[in-house]
Amino acid sequence: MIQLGIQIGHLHPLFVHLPIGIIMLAFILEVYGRLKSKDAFNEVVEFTLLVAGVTALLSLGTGWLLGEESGYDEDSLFLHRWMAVAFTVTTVLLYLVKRSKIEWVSKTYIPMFLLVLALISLTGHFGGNMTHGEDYLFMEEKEELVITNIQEAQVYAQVIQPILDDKCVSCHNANKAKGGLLMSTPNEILKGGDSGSLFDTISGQEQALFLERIHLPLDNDDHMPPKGKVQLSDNEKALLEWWMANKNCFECKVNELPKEGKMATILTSLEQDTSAIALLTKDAVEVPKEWLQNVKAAGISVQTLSSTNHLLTVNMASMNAVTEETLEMLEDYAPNVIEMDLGFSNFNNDLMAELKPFKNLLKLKLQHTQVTDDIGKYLGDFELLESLNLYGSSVTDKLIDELKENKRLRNIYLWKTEVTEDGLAQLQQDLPSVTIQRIGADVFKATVLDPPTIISDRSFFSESLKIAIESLFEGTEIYYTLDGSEPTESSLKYEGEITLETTANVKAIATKKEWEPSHITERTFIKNNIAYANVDLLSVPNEKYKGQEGKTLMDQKRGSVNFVDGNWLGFEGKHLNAVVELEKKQSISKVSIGALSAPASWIFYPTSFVVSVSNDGANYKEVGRKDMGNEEPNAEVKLTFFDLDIAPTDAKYVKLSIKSPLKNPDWHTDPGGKSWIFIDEVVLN
Amino acid sequence: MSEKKIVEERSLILNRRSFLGKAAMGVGGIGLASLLGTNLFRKGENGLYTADSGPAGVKGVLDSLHHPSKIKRVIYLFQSGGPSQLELFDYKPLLNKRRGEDLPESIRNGQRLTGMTSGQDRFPLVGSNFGFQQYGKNGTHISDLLPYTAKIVDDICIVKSMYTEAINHDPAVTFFQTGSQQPGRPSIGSWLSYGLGSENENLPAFTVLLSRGSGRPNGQPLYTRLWGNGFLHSLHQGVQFRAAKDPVLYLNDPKGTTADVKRSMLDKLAELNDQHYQESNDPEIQSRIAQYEMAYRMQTSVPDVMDTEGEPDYIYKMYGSDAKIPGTFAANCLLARRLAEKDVRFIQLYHMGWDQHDNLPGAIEKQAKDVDQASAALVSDLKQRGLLEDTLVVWGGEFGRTNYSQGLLTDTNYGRDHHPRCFTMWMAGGGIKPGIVYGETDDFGYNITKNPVHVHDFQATMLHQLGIDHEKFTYKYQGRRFRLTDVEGHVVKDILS
Repeated sequence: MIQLGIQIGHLHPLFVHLPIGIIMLAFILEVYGRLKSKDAFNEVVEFTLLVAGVTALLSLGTGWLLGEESGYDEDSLFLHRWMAVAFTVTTVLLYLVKRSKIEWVSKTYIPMFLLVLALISLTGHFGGNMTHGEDYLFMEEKEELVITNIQEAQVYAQVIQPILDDKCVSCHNANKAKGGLLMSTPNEILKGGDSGSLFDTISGQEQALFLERIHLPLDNDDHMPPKGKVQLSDNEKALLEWWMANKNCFECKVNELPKEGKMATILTSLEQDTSAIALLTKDAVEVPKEWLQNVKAAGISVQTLSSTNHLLTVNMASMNAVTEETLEMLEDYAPNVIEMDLGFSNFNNDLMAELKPFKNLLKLKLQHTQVTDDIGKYLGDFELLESLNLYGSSVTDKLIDELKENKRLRNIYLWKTEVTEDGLAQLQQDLPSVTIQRIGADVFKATVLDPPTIISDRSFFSESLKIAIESLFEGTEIYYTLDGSEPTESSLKYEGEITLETTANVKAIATKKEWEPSHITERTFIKNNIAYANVDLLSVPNEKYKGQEGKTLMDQKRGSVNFVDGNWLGFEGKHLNAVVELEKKQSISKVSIGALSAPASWIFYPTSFVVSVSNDGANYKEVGRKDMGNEEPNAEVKLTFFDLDIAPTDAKYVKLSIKSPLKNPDWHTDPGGKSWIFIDEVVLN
Repeated sequence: MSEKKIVEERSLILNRRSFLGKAAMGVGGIGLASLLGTNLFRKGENGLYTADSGPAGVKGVLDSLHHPSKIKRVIYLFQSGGPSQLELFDYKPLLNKRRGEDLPESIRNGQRLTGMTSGQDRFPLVGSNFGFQQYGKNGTHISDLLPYTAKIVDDICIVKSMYTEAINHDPAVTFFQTGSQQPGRPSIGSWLSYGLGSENENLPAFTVLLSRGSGRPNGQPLYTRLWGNGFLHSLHQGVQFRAAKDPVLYLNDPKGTTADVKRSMLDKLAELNDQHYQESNDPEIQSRIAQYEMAYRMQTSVPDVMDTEGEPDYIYKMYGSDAKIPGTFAANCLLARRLAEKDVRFIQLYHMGWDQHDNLPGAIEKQAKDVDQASAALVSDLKQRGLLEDTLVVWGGEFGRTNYSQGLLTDTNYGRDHHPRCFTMWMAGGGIKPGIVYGETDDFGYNITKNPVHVHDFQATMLHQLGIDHEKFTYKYQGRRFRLTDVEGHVVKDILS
């Protein structure tokens, strides 16, 4: 029964505004009718008062029932309730007085009307206090709790209480203690409400009552804050949980509690941004779009920081026509400009005075401009300056003295200026918090020079060969050897083309002051004065790598590491047998074969080769063999000549039997797979 | 295109037509570029995007940023092929201790394998053959393979907990560059060109430089669609700068063409294209006209940027003497700095050759040498010039490599397969906390144990630093709004300063 009553009582907010409006209307009509002396108004006023009386009764009835619901401050309720009764009664009386024809009764009409108005004002005021809180109408300007250092902040007072004030207290306060719970002070919170202590876990639940209510589904009637009210954000929930998990302390500081995972980030986000940029943002005036467009049309790149931030960055880098007029154009909104890039432009000392209105500059870039120490006297004006770029300008130590006043300077760029080490040390001493942005002297000290290149379009010659050695860098010195020994700075110094007259293994290095000497570069040049008539392949090369067949081996062209270049013969899973026919019978004392190894491509050096000679092409005699063995594990792509010295023998035909490993070694990615040999040249001497 | 837009665009055409009429009547000698620059292709009130290349650069679609940006440009040093985090950054002594033992199933936990190791019956753990030392204020572990990176460790933020969804190169690289494993979406640089435009009207907002690694010289090709514009105007595709006589193909005039002839040819061509546009309304024609004009301006701007003759010796000493050889990673890093100085918005480098399935120790040693000094030099060089304050440098590949050996494991040799579950990247520059390591992996170097960072998180963070809210920056195409981060991605606030 009571429950039904309260249900009906919930209609109170629906009716409550009717008598207020209607009684006001009646009063206005009454005054207006009297001013215009229109009697017809009397009937209208009379009827309006009747309606006011009826709605007042409805409001009173529903209000009475609603008052039975718990949670309202008894004193406020009492005042509101009985004031409403007085109002209702007086309103009904007023209606009767209006209707009355008795003269003395009619005389009380106006005073009574005023009384009604007073009563409705008071009733409304007390009602409003109960719904919206006492401080709703005249909200005291609360001192804003600014957290500048979250670590030192009070957990309850500065982090938790503001959340509760914002989301809970409007229903849980002294005037409107829903559920018997008040949440304005620590003591009230500790006391709990009708359902028990906030921090107790009710049996059957996993969490303390407080958290449980917060985490209920939104549609659940017990969910807090109730559906329709402003909800807690995820971060706020996380903060409340964190506080509860740490024994809901009321006196602790943030740095005394553990902060795991995301908590640190959430807490940091509460910190008020007191940086210069944040403060300037607050005070920045809005920049009209038309102004921006005009400036842009004049060729100056100027941008607001974002769609909601009116501070400006100006980019005039590389402009070669910066003038006083250019800078004056920006003057209207000079205080908005926090960043100005004039790097590589024609900016100079004379224009420096024009920067004076830009007093809020945080970043000034003057790299590679004509400015000198004379700008020093202006720099003090930029009190907020955080970053100053002067690299590549001709400022000197003199400027350092002038920088003392720029206490907020954080980054300075003085690379490639005339400022000395002493000057930098002085600056660091004057402004300890500034970072002089530069590279440590030793970081790139030990850079190795690029090896020189040995230049010749051939690798074979019959009489003599001229070769050159060059370096990519100017001012290098090149040292070389011809006998395969390691070149050093005491080896032969390269001073121009070298003429080779015998087979040579040329090795060279480049050196340069302040650089580490280059690695060794090497190249072999082979003298070969035995003329071949033909090379007959007894084994068929792979279709893809058959070059010019036998001719490939006598064309005096070396193959490259790119084994598809046509200068190689490739054999998959088989040996190579070939016969070299000489133009005439000659004495042979050395046999060399050129081979490639690239294990990552299944290509290996041959394991051995056997040389036999013949004068008739039919009967061969073995004259030597060389064993290279299997390769050690490696992944290098490389090429070499394998040389075999033999006792000088006359021959017309030379037969070579080059053995392949046939299969990939155990250490290979594909052990036992068919391996390749690649041969590009056979050289006889 | 909606009907309304077509109508609005038509009114735009009319303006242009009358404008062109005037131009044709008497302006003659003045280049069309400077005239069209400010008046053609203006972004209408309706938000309809068209190129506006004014003196202050080419406008992007975003009138103003979503929030203040920390950076103006990005240099992305993409290490293509999947660098092994275990040899370079993620120090895992346990793998050396348990070398040769099988990867426990509890660690692998059903991870799918590539076709290259799915046939393997054992997964022998293998630690790095290269040592690690501690560097910097925080004693960060860096491999002996990266002596120069070690020296700048206090300038960079190392993220050890990157992960991706793809397991093969093409989808994985595409995922990083476009936010989707399937081809067809715009690349990051294209998104930025579209959104932010260019600060330099003479150079494209999105440039691409390629180099081949010496670790695996013939491995893993790249495709031009990786720097493609997807469904955005083709104006926004990346422009590749080659290491050859013609850095940008087809840019130079044929022999015998004078500047006058070229100019009048372009003017006439623009007129014809414009007529065609009015008939067909194909916005690509606008892109085409703008591209001709851009190409014309690039005839002088590109040789300027590519000519490194004037770079002093000490610069080569920083970047390494390789930087003298066009087409090397070092030379590209030097070019990247030059492009950054010219305010190019997105500078994308790709260094190929990290796909070391076998013979990893030998290959990675060379590969690391290719990039180590030049990467460190780039960061340092930007720093001393004041550019690092507003540039983001990113270093990393498309995925990591497995903690077990692919192929036979010997004392000196092993390989590693693709591994998407964890890998390492580093970032440096504007708004990124320097000198920190973010994220952790387990002792096996197989799974992330703390602060995972997804590819979309990385992309969201990059956009955030540029002043863009990745959830608001969309493009409607085929009835759907597309984002770089698709429907995911969280800004990694923890690494932001």
